[in-house]
Amino acid sequence: MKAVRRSTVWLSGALVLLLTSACASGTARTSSLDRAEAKEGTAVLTVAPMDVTGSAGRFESLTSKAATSSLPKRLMVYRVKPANVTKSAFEKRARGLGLKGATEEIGGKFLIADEGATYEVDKTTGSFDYTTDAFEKQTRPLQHLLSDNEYRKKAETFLAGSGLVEDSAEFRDVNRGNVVGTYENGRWVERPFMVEVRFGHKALGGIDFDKGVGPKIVVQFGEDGRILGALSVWREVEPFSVYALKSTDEALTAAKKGDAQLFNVEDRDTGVVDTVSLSYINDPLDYDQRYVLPAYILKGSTGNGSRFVGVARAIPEALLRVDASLRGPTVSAPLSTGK
Amino acid sequence: MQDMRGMIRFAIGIAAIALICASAAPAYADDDGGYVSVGIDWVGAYAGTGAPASVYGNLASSQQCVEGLRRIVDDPVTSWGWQFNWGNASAWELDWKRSGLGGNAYRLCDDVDLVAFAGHGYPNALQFSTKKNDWQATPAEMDLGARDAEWALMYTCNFLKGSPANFGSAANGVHLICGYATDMTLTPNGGQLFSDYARPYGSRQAYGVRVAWYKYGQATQSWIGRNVARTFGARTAVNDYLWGYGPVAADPPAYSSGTAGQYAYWDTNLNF
Repeated sequence: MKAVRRSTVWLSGALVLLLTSACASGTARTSSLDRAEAKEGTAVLTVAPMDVTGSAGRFESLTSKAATSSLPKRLMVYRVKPANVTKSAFEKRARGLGLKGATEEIGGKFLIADEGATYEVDKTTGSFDYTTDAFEKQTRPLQHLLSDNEYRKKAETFLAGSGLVEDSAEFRDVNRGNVVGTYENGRWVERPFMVEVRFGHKALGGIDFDKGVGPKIVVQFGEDGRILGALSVWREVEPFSVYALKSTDEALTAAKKGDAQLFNVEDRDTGVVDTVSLSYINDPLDYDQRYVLPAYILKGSTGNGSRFVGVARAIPEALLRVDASLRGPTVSAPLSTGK
Repeated sequence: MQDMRGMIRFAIGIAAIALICASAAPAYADDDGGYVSVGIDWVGAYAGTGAPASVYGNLASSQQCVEGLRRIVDDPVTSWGWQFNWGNASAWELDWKRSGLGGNAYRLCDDVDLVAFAGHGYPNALQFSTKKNDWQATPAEMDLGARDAEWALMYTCNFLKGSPANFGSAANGVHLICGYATDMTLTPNGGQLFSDYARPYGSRQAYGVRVAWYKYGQATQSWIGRNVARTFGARTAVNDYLWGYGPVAADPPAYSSGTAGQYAYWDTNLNF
């Protein structure tokens, strides 16, 4: 009987030790995702198909001279959190923007349309659109531009004051690329007609989250730094599970096969990748995105010396279930016949 | 005599009904058509067709993208009609080519108020998967607006690449051509989003065509690569609304070196 008790005590002790070491290994997993002992996610992730560019480009040969040894072999996959926008929270922000009208609930959105401005929020993601009447009227070159710092300060003050700022947002740039091209004295001249201050999402675990459709908050400025509006394409995320990644060679093969988003690639192009990085990807607005996954970002030069970018999934296909219905409901129309 | 009175009463009744119907339907100042309509051309199935663009593979979203414009027609507030929907092997270069060059634009792409294309694009050239009569439609072959078209939406890469010297010749009365000066990403919700922005939404007023294109671009286009959404057209038409939703400018003169000063393009830089 004593022998049984002793062995029970010994077994309990071993169990405690085992549990302690398991917990310790779990802690280490979150701080160092590359540890070989880290347990990998195996749950199949439901994702929308990867959209492709309408460009007529493909690689005939694609090689890499990029250093990839420092890239992680495993990464956290994030789950999209529902925004849970309440009517009272929406109205509080609307009042902060100076809108006084009644709130409408329409098509998954809250909306207030006042004379002079409209504010709407997607209840699922929290993405918003604030547009003043001045936005449409701002079509001519700006006569008085501010400095980048002045635009940034105004944008940050506006977002903080109206409650539109997100904790996980950070400043990205002042975009002067919204230009109007006009024909003057025999040549086309481009000048900004609107300036945007853009904010992105902070990196997730040291990995960029900025190569998809945002996430972004954009504040638009007209003449003399007047705010024309603001918009966001945004999703809040939370850690889901660590997944093993494809190799960079596999990503390269996918890009060569055209199983990737390719930008600025020409017909039967040759490409040499010189930089490989990883980024999390945000889907377009209205997509029912459930997980935020990492992708390989392949940058390099084509045969004619111009720069190209390829985006290839980093999670192995075996762990993905591609569901086209996540891209939202579509409208169909009768086809014409008898041509 | 009684028969005669009956016939007169019947005729008056018919006339009254016709009057009621006419006053119920919104009237548009569409002086070149009278009936406002949408027409779409799209190509998704390129692989194996022998087309030059076939090597780039299929585009799964082309059809859904432009069929989303159906939402404009489904809006009970206005009276837009759905005129044509030619896809894949039935979408031809001839649909866009002006009649002076033997094309059918006068009864297809230029016989609607809003025309759209989704598919692969070379710089300044829409790519088709059937050779009728050519594989691609270029601005030099088009005369959009000569008959009816007010607005063209090009869900394809590079149609508006370069300067108006490269694509201006497509404009012969069309008010605005919305497209890209660079690569772009084709999404199935492209037409729907444009439609939702270009129509009233609840108590929100409709946005103009150029602004609706800007907002659709912001909602769908990636921050990576080089993405410039471009609207080209007459300066007077910069804030055109779709028929029934707001003011529409008069038809502008055809684009030429002599009228270039009356035109402009508005770019949105969508990437970092």
